Amino acid sequence: MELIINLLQFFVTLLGFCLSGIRYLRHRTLSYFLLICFYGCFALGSLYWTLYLLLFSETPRIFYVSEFGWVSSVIFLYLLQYTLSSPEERSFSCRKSLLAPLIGVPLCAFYCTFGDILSNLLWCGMMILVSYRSIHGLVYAETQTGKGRNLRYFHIGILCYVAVEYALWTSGCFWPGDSIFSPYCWCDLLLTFCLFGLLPATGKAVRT
Amino acid sequence: MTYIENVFICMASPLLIAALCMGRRQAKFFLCCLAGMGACLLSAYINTFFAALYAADTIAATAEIAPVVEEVMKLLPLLFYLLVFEPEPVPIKNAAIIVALSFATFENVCYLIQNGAGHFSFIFFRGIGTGAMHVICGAIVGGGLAYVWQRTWLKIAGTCGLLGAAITFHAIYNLLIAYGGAIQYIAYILPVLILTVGKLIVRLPQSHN
Repeated sequence: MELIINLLQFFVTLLGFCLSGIRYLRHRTLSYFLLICFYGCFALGSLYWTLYLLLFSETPRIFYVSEFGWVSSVIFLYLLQYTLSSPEERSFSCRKSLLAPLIGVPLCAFYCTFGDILSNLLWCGMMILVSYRSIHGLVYAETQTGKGRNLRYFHIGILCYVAVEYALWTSGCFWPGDSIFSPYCWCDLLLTFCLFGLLPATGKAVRT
Repeated sequence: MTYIENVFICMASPLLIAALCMGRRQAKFFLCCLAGMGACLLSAYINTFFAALYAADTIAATAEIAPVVEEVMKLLPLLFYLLVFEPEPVPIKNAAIIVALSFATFENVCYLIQNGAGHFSFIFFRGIGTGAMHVICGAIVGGGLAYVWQRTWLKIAGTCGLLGAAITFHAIYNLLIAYGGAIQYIAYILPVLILTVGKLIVRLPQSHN
């Protein structure tokens, strides 16, 4: 089941890569370039993981090379958030963004008791950064009128992505296994939809 | 046993002489070649060290350790070039591709010394496939660096992201090769296909203009 979901995730992110590539060729904006990088890195990570499972029927033992691709994709997502934000938005103060570390730090401590500390610190650190900027952007977009509010969809999309990632890791701690009935599988499937949903949301944000 | 450092000296000395004799413009090209071969030599040592440290078998060493070490080693001379000389975007791309190509050349030479050059068809596919793969990794890093180093806030995060992308692509290629059989020929053809498609896409808007 894990193999099928990973394969699906690869094809969805590959589709996202191609579609954002077409949009980049049309508009030549930095935002679409960063979206290409996001989808491309995620697709490469998924492809490596899927191929490893398919060819050797096991997961990598020494380095999780896929994580390099996935971590890179989150870096590009963060850069995309930064690119789409205006200088006014960056200087806007908002206490609600503190929700990101309030939720992320305890979860990080919880994950560290289950797995590799360095990897969990890195992942949760990035998720906290991404969600912090999203909450900040969402609150700022709510104060805007007209087209400025369109950025909400982009921030909501990223918050959904972060929430599903947290749900995926938490379900992995309680219900390990890759059967169809495992919540881990369903969260992974949900993650695939969230990833694809980022494409129209970013398109709306770029047009703004 | 392969005396890789002796091979390096043999290949590097003519390049070093050429770098000294040719003008300043051409010297850059030869120095990039030397940097690429030097990176390959050091990668071989570091790969062996990590393989021994983690008690890795051939598949793990090829598909998990080598891509990480090799891409990091290829990036180091480029970072030195970027930080010290602060070049324009076009020379960054060229330097990245020359480093990658010379890395691939040195790797191929070492492969030939270890495994012999008897099977022409296999060597032919391997040479082209490895060359294309390293060029793609060089283009990802070089093209990306040329873009991200124009913006201060993008520099560090962008470089890490590009390195991650190059490592993963390199690892996929090595993974397919480590599996062997018909799959490894897919690995040799894949970078060539990607390179061709990439070249066509890059030319597409230019032909419209």
